[in-house]
Amino acid sequence: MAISGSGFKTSIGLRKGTTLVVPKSEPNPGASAPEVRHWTSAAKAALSSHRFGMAEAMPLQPLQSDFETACSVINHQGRTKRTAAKAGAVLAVLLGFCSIASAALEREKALLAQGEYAQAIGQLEKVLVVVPDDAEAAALLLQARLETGQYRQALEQGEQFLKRRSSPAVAEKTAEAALRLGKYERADAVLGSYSTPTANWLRGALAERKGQTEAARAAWQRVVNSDPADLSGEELGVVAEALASLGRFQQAHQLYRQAMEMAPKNAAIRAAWGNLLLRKHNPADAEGLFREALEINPNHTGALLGMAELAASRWEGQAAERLQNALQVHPNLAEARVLLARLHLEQDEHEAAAKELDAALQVNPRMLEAWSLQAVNEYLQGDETAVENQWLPRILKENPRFGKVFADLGDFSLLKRQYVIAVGFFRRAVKTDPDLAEARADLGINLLRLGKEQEARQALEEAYSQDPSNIWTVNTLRLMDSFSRFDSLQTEHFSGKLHQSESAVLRPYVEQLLEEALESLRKRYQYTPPDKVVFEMYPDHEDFAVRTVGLPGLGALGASFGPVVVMDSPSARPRGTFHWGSTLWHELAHVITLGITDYRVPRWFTEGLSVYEENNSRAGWGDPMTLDTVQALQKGQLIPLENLDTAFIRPKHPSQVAFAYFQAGMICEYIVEKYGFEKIIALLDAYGRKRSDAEAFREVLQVRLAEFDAQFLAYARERTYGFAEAVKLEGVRDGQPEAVLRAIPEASPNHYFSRLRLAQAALEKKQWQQAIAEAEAAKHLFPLYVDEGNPYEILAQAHLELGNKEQAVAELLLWKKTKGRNPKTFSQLATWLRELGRTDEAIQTLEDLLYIDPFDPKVHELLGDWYQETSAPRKAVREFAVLLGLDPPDRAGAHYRLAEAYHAIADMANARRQVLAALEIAPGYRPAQKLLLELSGK
Amino acid sequence: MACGLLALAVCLPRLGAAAQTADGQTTDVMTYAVVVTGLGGEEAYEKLIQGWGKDLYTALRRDGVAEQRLFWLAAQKQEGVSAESRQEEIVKLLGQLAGRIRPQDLFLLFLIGHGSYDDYDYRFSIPGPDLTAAQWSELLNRIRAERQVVANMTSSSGASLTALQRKGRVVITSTSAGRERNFSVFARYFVEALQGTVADANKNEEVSALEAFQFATGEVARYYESFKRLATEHALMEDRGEGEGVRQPSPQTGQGLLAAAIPLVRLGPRQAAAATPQIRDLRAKKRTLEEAIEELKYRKPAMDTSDYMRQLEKLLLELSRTQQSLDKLEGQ
Repeated sequence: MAISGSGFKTSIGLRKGTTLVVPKSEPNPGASAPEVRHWTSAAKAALSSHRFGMAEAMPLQPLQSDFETACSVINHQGRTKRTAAKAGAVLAVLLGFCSIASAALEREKALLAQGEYAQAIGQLEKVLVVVPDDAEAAALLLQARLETGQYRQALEQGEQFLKRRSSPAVAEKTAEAALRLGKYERADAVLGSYSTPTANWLRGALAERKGQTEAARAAWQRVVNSDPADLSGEELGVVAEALASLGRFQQAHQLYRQAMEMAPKNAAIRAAWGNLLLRKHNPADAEGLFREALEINPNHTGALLGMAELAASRWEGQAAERLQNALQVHPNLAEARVLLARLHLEQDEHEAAAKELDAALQVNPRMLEAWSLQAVNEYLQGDETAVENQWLPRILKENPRFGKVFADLGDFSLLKRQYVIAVGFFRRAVKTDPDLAEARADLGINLLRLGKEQEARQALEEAYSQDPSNIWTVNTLRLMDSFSRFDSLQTEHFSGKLHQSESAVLRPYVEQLLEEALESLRKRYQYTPPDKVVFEMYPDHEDFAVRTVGLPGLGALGASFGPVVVMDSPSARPRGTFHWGSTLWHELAHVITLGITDYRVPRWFTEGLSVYEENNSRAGWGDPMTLDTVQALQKGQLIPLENLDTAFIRPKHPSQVAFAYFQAGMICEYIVEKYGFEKIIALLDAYGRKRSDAEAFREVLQVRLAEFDAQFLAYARERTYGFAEAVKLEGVRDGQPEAVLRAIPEASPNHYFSRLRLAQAALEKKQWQQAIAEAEAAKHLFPLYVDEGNPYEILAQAHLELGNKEQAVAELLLWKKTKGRNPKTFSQLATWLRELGRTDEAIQTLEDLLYIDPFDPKVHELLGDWYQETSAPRKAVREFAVLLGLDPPDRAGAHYRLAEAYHAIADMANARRQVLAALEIAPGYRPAQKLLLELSGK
Repeated sequence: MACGLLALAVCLPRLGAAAQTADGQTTDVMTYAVVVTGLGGEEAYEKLIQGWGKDLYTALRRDGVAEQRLFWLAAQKQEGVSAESRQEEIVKLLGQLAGRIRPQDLFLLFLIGHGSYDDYDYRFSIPGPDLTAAQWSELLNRIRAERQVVANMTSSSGASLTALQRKGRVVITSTSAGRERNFSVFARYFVEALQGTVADANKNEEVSALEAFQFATGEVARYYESFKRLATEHALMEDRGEGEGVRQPSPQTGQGLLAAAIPLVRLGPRQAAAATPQIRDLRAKKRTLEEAIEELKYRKPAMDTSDYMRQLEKLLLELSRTQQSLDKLEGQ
């Protein structure tokens, strides 16, 4: 969009040292008053030159004393009618000179520059009463009206003025007012044949509004052709804007810098440059400029709007607040209304959005950005017919190149995870307006999300050539370049990538789990993805983030775009902190629920089902309940179902997202328990038929949302065993004496961490029975705590010390089932199980560990050995092959073990290959020598 | 890299073999080892440092060094500790050893704890006055053993390398520079290398200084990677007595030759002393075959893969048969 929100394009004022600014082709269109501009300008120049001691001012010097007298009267007497009368004949004589009130208008200009619009308007109205034809004062007044949204008054006053006399500055302001009111033909008429930079810029903007790209570009080109030596700082800002509109961004940046140096107190230039930087993906510098602009003029609506856009782009809550601030200054700031509408739409607040859009259209009934969001609003409410048959034809009739409406529809489709539909809209966006580089980048990124790599690359490379500064485009192209370092993954139902550095380790587990998860889910949901699902794992979390959102810094672990699943590999996170198996299962559940509903499932429901599925996939899978979640439950912070989607998209606080996942999962669990799993399928079917939450729940569960919330609250209380309400989770300070610790549970028996600390203290003192008693009490209070210092491990150690390894093992098995994650504890449990002769369970424990930490060579070595012993040589082959993939210190040993495993399954060729590899490293390795001789039959 | 390093170990069998006897020592060659554990500063570090020291002492005691030639000086007294790791005790012990150790003997020194570097001197943190790298060097230079291993496994130990290096001495530091000041975990894995068979990459039933170094550096890298943390220590080895230490000793870097030939612990049964002419012949044949295998491995990059594998298999089979015959004669 080319029009800034603040009317920054003032061309009032003279650059230091400039003697005369007279556009050569500046006629006097229909002016009834004599053309005095030349003369006035000369006088201004004289003043200006005089002030800076320039010789060119000399011809006007004889008038100087009279002029000063007049202006001094005007200044000191406040420009009232009374004062004007007192000025009498002097003023009458010097009427023409009163435009020379440039010196006298400094105060008004200062008020305007500082955002004291009401005062400025008051003062300027008074000036114009005295000197109605003062063009500079008139232009300033119009400017002030533009800044405060008094468009109609500005238009009328401007047109009245122009009937009396010509003035490019007044014409520019008048045209801008007409443009903002959607009166494009009037704006054109007002501009007439003026050819100042601002006039031409406005012509370009008007042509662009109508989709007349060539005309727009020609007009902006005329702006750019202006001789910079003749331009003020403000006018240079206009040229910079034109350069930006022509896609010449680097030159635009240079010119803005120059403009700022020439007009350092001009907030509008800073805001305009900030806007360009915002559009060119440099939010940090944009923010700096907006802040500087607001320091100069706290009411600068362009800067306020820019700050709001920044906040909105960062999904920050202050966006709406900043927009309200801007609207207080400028109630007709339609751009603010449109942005507010966008924020409402993001939260599915359709009525509120419509209200804001109506308000925007009250100002400018032809504002395409508002029409576009009206189309989005209809679309989001399911009325695709209205969009296709009513809104799109109307918009494209007004502006056949307004591809942005498709980009908007694409953006909101993405928000609803409707990637296929979004891609369709982005295609239409760039077809309608091939210059929409951002929509082209979005097209490429989302094609990639759908697994269409080649097409994605083409779109992204085109987008890059149009806008090399788009960080999303650049990041995604760079990521795609790195794909050469990935190995291909192919199974019956999946294709994808694993990084070369870890594919040898991950491949067997990933391939097996993908197929297993998909098989389980498709049976239960009766849905099979039509094509192979794309699956990618990234060892560098930032690569995953770029793959997902185009930028580094994403907090998530995995993402599903329907038929494409991407996620962190276990090496992207510190060991033992990430259950990649559970995450994989979670994301595959999205593939099903998004696919089955044609991407119409609400966010909360698809997340809830994914949580439900991972929790029920295998014992110990799914996220453990966090202390934050328990504390939120204690405070009764369940989110009403109608707000649950918003908690995912715009959480009120960071921990609300985790809680939203937990609650959504528990809601699904509740539906399954109370209504049966078939109702889950029925709900998905209803969502697929575009039912809202309220409609779907009424139709399928025969319950209103509020009723459901009440039922669920009771269930949630019951399911959390009461501990959520009973347990006291306040911490205990480090180093507290035991006597103090002991007093805590006496006073407050449900104090969890004091119990736990007492158990630990007893353990350190080898008071095993005491440790068991305290740890059991803690475990009873809050059985779901499995992090460091948990009661299960204390109990296990105490029981072991008392010689009861069976009970120690029982505690750790319970810990594992309760979603314990510490790899060392897994290994310990496996070792104890093995020592007790429970090798199958030991193997299962290490198998479970692989989904948390697959990179420990010792685990694979043990598993391989145990499989070999338990006559499962094929699994031993898998483990020893993985062991080799980990580049273990004992490579010769790993090759030998693998050779033995191959030997056991009578795969002699591989056995021979592996034993030779072992002996190549260690020729004197006797067991390998023996195997080689055996394989050679000698 | 591994191939090249292992090649070094086998290319110089006589260096290592000279030190092998039934009891791990010959009347000509004795191994002396000194373990010094310094101050921990905090309880957690004290425990780690003492623990690693004890494990190292135990591994050396079990697998190679006779009790009367193994010394552990520690900041805290405990079983196995012969004296406190104060400057005067260290000076006294090394002075005594300087009188006992002969040129043909092997001398091993292991430092575990905190080190510091102030842009001028490296210091090992011990009770009482610390010892600088120059002071350690002076003490070590009095030891006449022509083959020495000095493993300085302390923080900032990289700053001690230059002062410690000398011809015939393998110098290992757990950090690459004095500015790597964080607590070093290198000792944990170096000690682990000597505790079992895991570091015996070439399966010759010994863990050489080179193998221990390689195992420890690999595990240190794995340790930092597992926490997704940037490594704050990068161990170096220097065994030519000149030039800079390297992170990856290899024929390309010119380092590791001596280290490959010095066993720190022995894992298997000792070789029988008695050697009949037939045994001697078989041993000679075995050495010839081993050398031929190493020579073939060096030529591998320039060879056709299938030709290489064919020749390798032939040599390995011959070596296996020879070893089988040798084992029968030696009663193994």
